[in-house]
Order: sequence, then structure tokens, then C-alpha cells
Amino acid sequence: MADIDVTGLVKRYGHVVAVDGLSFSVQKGEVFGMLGPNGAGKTTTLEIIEGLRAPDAGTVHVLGTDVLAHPGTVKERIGVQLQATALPDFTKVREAVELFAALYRQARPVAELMAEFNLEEKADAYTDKLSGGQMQRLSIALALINDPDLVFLDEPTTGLDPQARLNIWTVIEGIRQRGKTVVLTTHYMEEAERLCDRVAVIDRGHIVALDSPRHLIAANAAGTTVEFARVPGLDVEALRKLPGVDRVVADGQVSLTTRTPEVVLHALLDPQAPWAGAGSAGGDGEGEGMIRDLVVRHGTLEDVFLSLTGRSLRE
Amino acid sequence: MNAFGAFRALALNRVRASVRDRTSLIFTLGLAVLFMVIFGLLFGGNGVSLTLDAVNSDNTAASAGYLTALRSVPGVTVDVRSHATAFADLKDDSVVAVLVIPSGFGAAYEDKGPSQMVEIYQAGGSSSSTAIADDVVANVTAGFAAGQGHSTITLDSPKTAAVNQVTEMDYMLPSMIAYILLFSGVNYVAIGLVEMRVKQVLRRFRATPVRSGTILAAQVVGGALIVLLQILVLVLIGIWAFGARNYGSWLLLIPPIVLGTAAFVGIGFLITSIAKTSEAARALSAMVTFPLMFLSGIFFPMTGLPQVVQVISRILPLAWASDALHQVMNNGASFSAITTDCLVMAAWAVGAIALATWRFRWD
Amino acid sequence: MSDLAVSLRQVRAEQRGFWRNRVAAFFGFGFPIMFLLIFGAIFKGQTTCIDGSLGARGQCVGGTLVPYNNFFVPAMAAWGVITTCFSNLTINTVYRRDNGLLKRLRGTPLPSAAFVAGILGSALISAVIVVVLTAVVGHLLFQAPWPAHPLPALVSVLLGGLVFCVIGLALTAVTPNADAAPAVMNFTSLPLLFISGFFFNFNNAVFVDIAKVFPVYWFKEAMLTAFGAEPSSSGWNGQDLLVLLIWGVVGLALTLRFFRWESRRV
Repeated sequence: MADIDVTGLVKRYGHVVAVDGLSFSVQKGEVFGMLGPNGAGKTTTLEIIEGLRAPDAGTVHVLGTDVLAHPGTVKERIGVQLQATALPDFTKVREAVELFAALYRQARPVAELMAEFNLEEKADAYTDKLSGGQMQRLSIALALINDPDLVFLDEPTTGLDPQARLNIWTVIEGIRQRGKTVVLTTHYMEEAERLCDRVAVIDRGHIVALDSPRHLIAANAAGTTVEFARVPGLDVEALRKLPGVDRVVADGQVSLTTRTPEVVLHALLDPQAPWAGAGSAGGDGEGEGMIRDLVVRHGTLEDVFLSLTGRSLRE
Repeated sequence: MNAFGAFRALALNRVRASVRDRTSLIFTLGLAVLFMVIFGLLFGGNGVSLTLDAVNSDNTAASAGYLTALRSVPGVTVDVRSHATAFADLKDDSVVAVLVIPSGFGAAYEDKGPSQMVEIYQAGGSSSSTAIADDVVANVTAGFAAGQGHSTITLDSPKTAAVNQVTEMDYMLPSMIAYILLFSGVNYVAIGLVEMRVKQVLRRFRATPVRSGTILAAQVVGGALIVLLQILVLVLIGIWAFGARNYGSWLLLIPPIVLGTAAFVGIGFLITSIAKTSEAARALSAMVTFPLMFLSGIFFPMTGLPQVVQVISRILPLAWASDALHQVMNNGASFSAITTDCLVMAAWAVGAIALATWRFRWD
Repeated sequence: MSDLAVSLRQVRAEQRGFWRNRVAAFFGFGFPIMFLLIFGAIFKGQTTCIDGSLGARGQCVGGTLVPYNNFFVPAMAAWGVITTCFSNLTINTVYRRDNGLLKRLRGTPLPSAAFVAGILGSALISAVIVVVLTAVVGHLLFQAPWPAHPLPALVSVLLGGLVFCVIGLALTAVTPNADAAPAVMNFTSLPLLFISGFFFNFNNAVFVDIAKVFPVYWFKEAMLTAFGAEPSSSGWNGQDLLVLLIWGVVGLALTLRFFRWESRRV
């Protein structure tokens, strides 16, 4: 049985339909991402699955238990990080961990958890004096206090600087390595691509696509683009005939679009090719050919979202 | 599941956070102490009405004229009462003094009988209101007698009735306990709980297996514990720094303090079911606490205020809390004297908490 | 020209913010009006002794006996000014400091002076409105007379308002965070209101002497004089205004020395 089974989930706020008939499953041990812009219904969906909100229609089973009927049972076995990191005022880091440990029937040793998340040094600091990254580490540590089988992370890296974001990604990869199932929401493509086994692209309360990031990109994005400078004498027509090239645009520079970048690159860099080595004389590099300033750009989930909804993620 | 462990951890966290919020704590307590000093010295003083009971054993035109002369002094109220009622009033501090007009007063005034002395009984002690009452009565009596050119009417030297010698600080300490009940009870829960809701702390707690009721109860009980802690500190300051005394039983103070805390914490809790933002909670708390502070006789006696106001104050819980605390601490009253007070506070507590629980919104 | 225009725009923005924040509007306006309604109704028809002491016979010695509401309306108007300019402004400023808004403002091209001018200007506008409102309510419901000397009243409100704003800004320096701000404000203003005789005649000699050290007392005096509750031919009382002015200078000096744009991080 899947760790999460959601069928026909609907949630309305007045006339606004926030979640419009969502159905999906999350398998044990996978990292499942929910990708979409603000207001797409990600957080509402997550909070229904966590037992924090009641849906207007639909069923939710978490770890084999009906959440709507037995929220307490489910909450005992899941770990939750809310979008807004909320802890009581005037509480020190160690106290926060101890407080949450007291709220579960079984909790991991406080010291062990603090060591694992590098929080010992800040143990006696008030939580509101932590940096964004430290706060997020604490928040994830609290989500793991009951050693849950299933962890929910709502926008775990929003608002963090790149260094702190990388740090949190390592933390999440660590959680996955211990065999836990992770459900996370994000509106960062890199995050979904790097961390998630499968991604549900959500727009206006609907799942518009659900697959692994690689398949989503392959199916929906234009593919990989190989770009390089247009050096005089380069035979653009010959490039068009290369195997695997779908499209060539040549203006100030040359852009090749392909779904098989390995094949195209191999042909482009073939030392026997007409554009290899014998380029315009006097190049500063030794034996430099006509393919210069080469850049390979992969399709991204951003492109996927754009092609699925016609809108940019950050709108 | 150790439900009590979770409850204790949550309540403890709440209390600890409030104690650590030093500035709020010090300024809240400091204000109570300041009020104690200000009103302690003002109490019964100038500008506040003097209420006297008169026992009229004479009932002639002359004694009626004497009472009219007394009443003509601005701020002075004189009620004619039976002997028993008058001295009961004196004992429970509703009046500052009791005048006893002897039965031969009229005859003496008309020069048809022996000279008479008006007797004055007071609660005693050094209260400035008692001194003023003596002064006023002495002046009026002298003037009344002199007006007729006779000296057959005199005022006896003041006698102290057998009641406790309640000083200003003795009176102010129970008043300030009531003040803390009101302000801290309402504010800590109302503002604290709304803030936790706005900042999503409550939501985070709800994501744990702890039952919703336990989470709320811990916050409310935590708030109540802070109130009790503040009262403890206030009482110690009152006793050590200001020499306030408790003429009653310390144990008997527990029911009114606990029930009063429950009533005001309940009202604070009720505010959280109405207020959406912490600013709104602050405004609503102020709207409740400030009028109540003035309409419940904790700073100055309600006697002398219009009937409507007195009725309103009798509906609100603070007057009852204040009454019970004064009864015990100043008059050494027994439980039977504060039973009604306690019942009213209990009713407020149950009503407010029930209504708040019913109307509470988590988002 | 541009500095003035910038300041005026800032005043307008502040005013908009003030009225949109219903709670701030309530504390500034609703509160004094609420007290006016409660006490006005309670003491309607009674008299009070201003500036004197009640003698042994209850007579007003050395003061003026006036209908209670003739005294209470200007007193509550004065309180309204103190609430909008002192309490609200301080709480709001500390809140903005905690939020990092003040720090961010310094990063914009808006000059600090224009920002401060905006805050002060807006508070003064609110103060004038609250005084007018109090006078209207007092007149219509409690038959209190209109302010006898409008020009002195306006000058008192503007000067007093400005002084309380400046003192309030100075007090932000000792207010650690937004949570504590209301407690600090209550602590500093309420006892002074009582001993300065805002609600009823308060003439314990020691406390009146203490009250006379602080501007709250003098502002009330200036308002009572301007409203005609105290006998005065012109409505001007140089002493009241002078003491206010001195406090304004002291407050300004403290503000310039101690005001913080950022919250103190431990």
C-alpha cells in the first residue's frame, strides 16, 4: 500500500475552489514534490493530508489510516514542517526541541537530534535570534522528533540564501537516505529537480502533470539547447543535417535544439568534422576549431510549467 | 499517551515565556504598585465623597435640620439607618463613620431639656477619610449649634467601633489584587493566544498528536498561572514594602483569587474568539479592562455614583472579586460572607470559558 | 520645495495608514470618547473643584467650582492628544523598528527628516481631529460649552501634541520590543493622568507637586484654560506653554541622542 492515497480531494473557501478534485499516491521511500506558484493549492492540500484541515470532498489515507477519521493516529506517525516557521516567543532552541518531544508518545533523544542538525552551539539561543538557515534546520529537526515514517516539508528553502539552501538540500537528502518518505512543496525548479523522485505540477487546484522531473522535462520542454558562437565560415547547413538535431537557429550565435544532446555533442566535437581544428588562423588556443563558447542548456521544470499552463511559475 | 506530560510542557512553556518577557512583567506589576501608592494616599481623601450613616433616636424637626445641614456639605452623603445596619455598614467599610443622634436632641436644641452629645463612631486607624469625616461633622455640629446661639448640642469625641483599623495600604492591597486579576487575566490570554494564532504557533502544535482541547487548556491555564504568580509578588511587595496587613485567613483568599482568575482569564479567552489580529485583541482588552477598572470600586467606593452605574458594576465580575477580597483581607470575613461573590465569579468563569470554547477559531 | 512636498506626501501616507489601522484609530479616538461617555454620563449635573482643594466642609478652596463636564471635556480632549501623539506614536514606532521598517526607510532616498516630519504631521492632524470630536460630543451630549478661546486651544493642541510626540520618540529608546511597548506606555502615562487630575480633582499636595514636574499636568492646564473651564480673559497661559516648551526641548535632545533605527539584537 502507498504511504499516501488521495482521491477526489476538494476544498473551497467561499466561492474560491482552492483544491479541485486532486488524486494521487505517494509511494514508500520516495521524495514527492508539489510544484506550483503561490495560491495553486499546494499548502491547502498538504494541510488536509496532515489532518489540519477538513476537505469538502474526497478521501485521504496516510500510512494506511483514514486521516479524516483518525487524525491523532496519523499525526503520531508523521512529521510536519509548516510553511511559516512558527515557534512560541521567548523559547530557547533546546527548550523548543524538548517541548515538541513532550508532545509525542515516542520521541528521539533531544541531544541526539540536536547533534544531528548541528544545533548544539545554538542550544541556549532564543529561537527568534536564529538565522534563516538555522531556523529552518530547527524546524526540520522538530518535524523529525517523533522519528516519523513520513515527513512533510512546506517550502523548506523559501527565503534562504543559496548557501543555506544547499545545506537544507543535504539535510533532506539525508532524510531520504534513512528510507523515510518525504513530501515537499516548492516553487524552486532546481530544488524539485535535484531532490524529487516525482513531481506533481499543480495549477489552480489541479494536477496538470505528475512524473519524474526528467520525464516531465523530456515530455514537455523543448529539450536541450546547445549554443555556440557563429564564427565566419561555419557551415550552418551542415549543422542542420547532423543526427539528432531538431532545429537550428543561427543569428549572432548558433542554437541547436535536440532531445539527444549526447549524439549531437559527439558529432559537433568530432575531430574529423569540417569545423574542427582548421578554423580561422591565429586563434589564441592551440588547434582551436570553429565551435567556440559552447554552452549546453538543459530544459527545466520552469519550461515544463510554462508549456503546461502557458504561464510562468513566478507570476 | 502521556496527555498530561504534553499539557504540562505546553503550559510551562507559556509561563516561562511570560516570565522572560521582563519588560511587560515589570511594567504591569509596577503599574499596580504605583496605583497602590497613588490611590493609597488618595483613598478617602479630597474630592472623593464621604458617606456616613446616622442613627436618629430623636426624630424631631431639629434633628432633621441637623442632618440637612450635614448633607448640604458637597460630597457628603448621610443615610439614616437602624443601629444594627449602621454598624454593619461601618464594619464592611461602606461608610466612613456612624453618627448617633441621642433621643433628647430636639429638646436640647429647643432648650427644653438637658444638653446632648452627638456621638461619632469610626472605623478607626489613620485613614484620612475618617479624619475628614470628623472634621466635617465637628464643623457642621458647631455651626448648627452656634446658629441658634446655644451650646446645648456638642459632638462627643470620636469613638472607635470594634472593627479592624484598616489603613490605606490594607485597603489598597486587595484592590490591587483585583486589578491584577483584571488586567493580567484578560491581557495575557487575549493577546498571547491571538498572537500564537496569527503567528501559526497554534497550528504547529495542532500538527502534533496532542488534542486540540489540551493545547487550548494549556494556554489558558498557563495564562492563569502567570496571573497567580503576579498576585503572589504583589502581595509580598504589599506586605514587605508597604506594611499592608491581612486581617482574614490566607486560605480564604484562595477561592476568590482562583475563581477571579478563572473569570478574567475566561473573558480574555472570549476575546480571542472575536479578535482576528493581536492589535484588535489589544483594543478589545483595553475596551473591557479600563471601564471595568473604574466601574467596580477598586480605586474608589462606588457609593455616591448613580444607581445605574452601581447596577452595572454589580453585573460585572470585578466588583464581586474586589468585594470578596476586601471582605476577607480587611474585615476578616468568613466564607459565608463571600459565598455570593464566589458564585458570581464562578458563573462568569464557566460562562465565558464555555462560550469561548464554543466560538474559538483556530485560523 | 521638494523637501516640503516629500514631507507632505509622507504626512498623507501616514494619515492613510492611521485610519486604515482601525485599532490605532480606536486607541486614539474611541478611547477618550468612550471615557467621555462613561464619566460624562456618571457625573452629569455634578460639579468639580478645579485647582483647589476640598475644604473640611467640602467647599472648593482656592479653586473654581465648575460643572463636571466643563472640566471633563477638555481633560478628555487632552488625553486624546496624548494618546495619538504619545502612546500610539511610540507603540507604532517601536513596532516599525522591530519589523526592520525603520532601517529599510533609511535605505531609501527619503530623507529621515521628511519621514519624521510625516509622522509628526500626521499625529498632529489626528490630534486636532480628536479634540474637535471630543468637543462636539461633549457639547451635544453633555451640554459642555464650546471651547471659549479657539486660537489658544489650537496652539495648545499643536504645541502639546508636538511635545508629546518628541517625548514619545525619546521613550522608544528604553522600550525593548513591540510586545512591551503597550506596558511601557501605560506605565508612563496612566499614573500621571491620575495625579494630574484628568478624571477627577486630585489634590494630594505631594502628588500634585510630582505631577507638576511632568508635561501632562501642564498640558491639561493649558487645555482647561483654552476651553474656558478656568477663568482667563485671553485663554493664554504663558506658564503652561513655557513648561511644555521646555519639555519639548528636553525630549528633542533625548531623541536626537538615544533614538535607535534598528532593534537591538541580543
